[in-house]
Amino acid sequence: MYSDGSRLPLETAIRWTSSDTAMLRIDSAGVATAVEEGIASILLVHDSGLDDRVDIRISPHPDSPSVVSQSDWTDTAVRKVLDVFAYGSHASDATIARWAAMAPEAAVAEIITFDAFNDKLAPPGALPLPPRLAEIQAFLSSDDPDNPLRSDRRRFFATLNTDVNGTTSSFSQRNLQRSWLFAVTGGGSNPVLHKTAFFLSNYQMALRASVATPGIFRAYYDQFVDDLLTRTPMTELITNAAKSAAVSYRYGHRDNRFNNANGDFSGNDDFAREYFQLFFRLLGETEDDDYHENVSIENNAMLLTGSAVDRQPDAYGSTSHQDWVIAPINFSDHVDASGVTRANTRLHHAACLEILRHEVCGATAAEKLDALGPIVARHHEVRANLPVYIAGFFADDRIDEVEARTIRRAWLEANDDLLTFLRSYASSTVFHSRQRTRSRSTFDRNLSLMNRVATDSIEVYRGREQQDSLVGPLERQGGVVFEPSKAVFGSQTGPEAALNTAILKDAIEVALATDRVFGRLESSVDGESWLKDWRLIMPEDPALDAASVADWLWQRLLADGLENQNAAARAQLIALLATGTDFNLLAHEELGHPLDRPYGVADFATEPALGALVEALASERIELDAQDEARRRAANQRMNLAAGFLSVLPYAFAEEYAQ
Amino acid sequence: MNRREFAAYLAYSAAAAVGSAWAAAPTPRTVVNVMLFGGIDLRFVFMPTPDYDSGYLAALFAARKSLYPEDYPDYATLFEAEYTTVQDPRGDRRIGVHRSCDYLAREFADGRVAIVANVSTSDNRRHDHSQLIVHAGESGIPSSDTDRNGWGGRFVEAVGGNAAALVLSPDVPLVAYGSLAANRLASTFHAADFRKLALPAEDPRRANDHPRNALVRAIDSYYRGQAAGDIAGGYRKFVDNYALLRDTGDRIATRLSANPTPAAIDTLPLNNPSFRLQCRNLYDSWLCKDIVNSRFVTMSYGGWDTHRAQSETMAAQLTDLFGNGGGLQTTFTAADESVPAEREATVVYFASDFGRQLAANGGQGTDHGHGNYALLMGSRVRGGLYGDAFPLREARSDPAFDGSSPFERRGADIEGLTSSLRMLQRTCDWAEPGTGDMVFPDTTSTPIETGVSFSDLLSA
Repeated sequence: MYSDGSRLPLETAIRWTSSDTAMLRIDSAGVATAVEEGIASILLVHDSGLDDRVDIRISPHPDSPSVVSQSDWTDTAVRKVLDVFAYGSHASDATIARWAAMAPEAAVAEIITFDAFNDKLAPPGALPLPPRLAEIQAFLSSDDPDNPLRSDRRRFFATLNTDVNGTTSSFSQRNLQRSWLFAVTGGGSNPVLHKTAFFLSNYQMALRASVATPGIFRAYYDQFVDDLLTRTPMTELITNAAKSAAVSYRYGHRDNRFNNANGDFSGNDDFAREYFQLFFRLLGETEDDDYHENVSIENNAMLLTGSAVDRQPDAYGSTSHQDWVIAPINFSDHVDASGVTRANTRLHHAACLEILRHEVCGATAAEKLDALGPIVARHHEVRANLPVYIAGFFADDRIDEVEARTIRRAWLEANDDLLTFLRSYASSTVFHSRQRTRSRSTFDRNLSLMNRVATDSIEVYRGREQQDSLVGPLERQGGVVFEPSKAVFGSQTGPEAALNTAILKDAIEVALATDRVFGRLESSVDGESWLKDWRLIMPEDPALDAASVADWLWQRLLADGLENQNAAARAQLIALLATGTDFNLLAHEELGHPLDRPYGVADFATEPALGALVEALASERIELDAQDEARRRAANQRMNLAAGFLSVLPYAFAEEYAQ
Repeated sequence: MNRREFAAYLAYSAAAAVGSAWAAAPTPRTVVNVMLFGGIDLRFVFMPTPDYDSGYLAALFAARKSLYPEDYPDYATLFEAEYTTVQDPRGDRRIGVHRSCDYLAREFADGRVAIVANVSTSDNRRHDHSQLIVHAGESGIPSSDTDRNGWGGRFVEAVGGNAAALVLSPDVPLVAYGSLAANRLASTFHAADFRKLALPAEDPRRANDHPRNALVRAIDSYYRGQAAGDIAGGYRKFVDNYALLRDTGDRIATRLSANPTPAAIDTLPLNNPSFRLQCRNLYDSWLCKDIVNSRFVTMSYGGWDTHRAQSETMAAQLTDLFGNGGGLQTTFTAADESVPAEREATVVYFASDFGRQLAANGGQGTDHGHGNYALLMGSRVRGGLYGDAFPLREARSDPAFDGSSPFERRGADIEGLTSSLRMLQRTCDWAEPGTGDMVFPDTTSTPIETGVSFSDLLSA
């Protein structure tokens, strides 16, 4: 305002500049973005020649995540990151030690990547697989000379059900499940990439493959893989999922249609609702209920009109017409390969729609979803809920409000980049806090254990009965790959699994079958024999006395820095390693104790004979390096037995659970 | 005694144990909660007879005829094809019950099913939040408040002693959670498969030093040896769980080995295999009631979020639940023969997220709504209709909405006039006198439809 009372809109006549753009950026509208800590100046110059200067001190937001200190960034801390984000991975002790010596952020950046393959997480000799499930299946079921799978097992990874004569029929969901399990335990993929894609497709934006149909579900999963590989912004990634054939088919808005001539709408509001609630975690709790229910959701149902899914006879080569739905959706008016007219533009609500008090426009459902995504992503509920939900899935059962503020801040600072967010969280003091409690789902516990006991790529590729070894236990324990137990609300969570008595019981059954699940001892296939060799994943020149091996194995499988290892657990573990039998049998034979006596910590404190027996066993040498194959086999079998024991201790079901 | 004689001895002792438990005292009462996940459209199950108000029927027919696979010309034809007329045992009203629910219809006619109309369970239409509210048995709680107790958990705590909330479904729902924040499952017993509860034992055919036997003993010795001071904080729960499995699991296995599953239950031809297993678990739970002391039981059946293909989906699922030869009829019939006292002492409450909208959505389905019917089934239930089953206001035009009626309006649903908490409070009191107020301490401020009273909902 001038002294004569006249007015001039300032923003039209001002130029904004920053004294140090490496520290502070400012755009033509005067919106400043802090880049680094420090002091910078903003210079305002008006067309009239007037100018001014403002000094700005840039300091971290009080809620910004702090990086864990170097002293807390230990071997155990690295292993926890691997456990949470990479199903434990096959990372070697040497690699883990190297990461522990690095700056936390640098190490985490090497661990958490969305690359197709991360050799640092792979077992020695691993063969990189293609990243997408469709390609993984094609390769693993092929006669490619590089295919490492047993020739008689390859058909169990094929897209189609295939009998022993090679005759194919319908799309095999079981083979799809096996292929994913191979991707996360086979060593040839990046377990971080596939765990994240699994989270997106089985938790946050969950669909059941059997309901969506396995073919378009696979395309749905592979779209997530593609988007992660290219670091597609999260808003766009979610939007791509919302536009997918699998989502339209599963939720049924493939039938939503709008008659632009008479205004008649026909269709359901199922995904219109869950798009907000599940995909973005916008619950509507801070919205006016009537407006959210009857305007935003109902208009979103109309937005989704014109999302019909194409059919293509013989799609995937399947003989079952139920498999013949294909992805992606063609949002134009067209005749599909089955001869059916799909009027996806004509039957789409052509006019703009009001959603979340914004006008959303576009000629097709896809265009409107592209327009709507950024509007939803900016909603304060999304910024409050989505990052906390993601962190909760990966790492923490109980996130308090203080932690939530830091996690939300990390999300904002990640600027819609999921990888940046996960790295920031994984290297933060919030993640490495003693307050963090994480129960392991059936997937997390079994897959981490399986990866940590694998000693080489031969075991992974040929030693195990790959097509069956994990599917059964996972299903019995409530974890069915690509069939979320709560349908669109996601698969089993850690808290649902950890304290479940039925799962504890089944886990013990699995432990008793160590040769079949957590580490096969030997095999002979296609004229090639293989014997498990635990030394391959132990440090160079390891101490092979039972006590040292017990500690190494405990840390390898349970990754708690031995803090939960007490005298009773140590006694059993050392006995199993040193003699291949339990401490009870030894105490029975040596000390005359009842065979079924329970041993607790107090017993070792009050009965010196027990401690003496343990110490006598502790110095026994585990002959993993014996020249004699029979002795070496026996030593490796004891390692498997001890691994089975560790796999059912409380610390395998949950971490940092002592609060 | 050889192995065969030993097995026979175990079987004899097990059978004797069941008998003595029955004879010792009146059988403790049990509330079974069947959660129908997804928000069941019970308006599809219960419909007015063709002699009801003609204006109402016309509006109803126009709003919902597209739900049905046949293109029925009028309401009377639709009703004739899809519904069975049943007399309300509490009055002179009649209602139609969907033909897939012939067992439910017969039980209702015989006075063993209470149908409560216009029930409100949740104040919103989101599955997760509504399920939380329904499981908690408490309205007005925020959706993030999931670390809390459920009404079933509170009920067994109110009963006291070693009463347990028995979970027969694959997952443990919040309804069975207890009040102890450090261990919500302290009074919960999860039996996803009653006949596979026993922990693996040593194999007597193998030597003591066989690896399998060694591992069984190592695990058993470790878990049994962990005293309170040996194991930190939350990890203690795993030790408790192991003890529960070891002690109770063995006793249950012994009991059930003497009581094979009736063939009718073993071969139940249900569409939902999980519910078939839960029905068998329910039967087994009655056989083992003295071991588990299950005073609250929860089961589940999902798949009621019928935004599309509602008729086809619901008919198949309703047959599983309420059909002759379905899960409940088969299980209850078997129980009437072998454990009649347990069956007599049980009532079954059917819960769901919410009801659905009155009008079909154009995609042969219905979208989320609020109000619904509530069902309570059991020999001690004073069966009949409670409340106005088909309120005429649903067909009346409303000036506030351009003169449209709820049947014509997208988003309109059954108005919730009666809180489900009131009937649950009464049910708890029946199952264990004095517990209703403890489980549901503040129902006086909750709504109840004019003319409805639950004072005689259950007989002593």
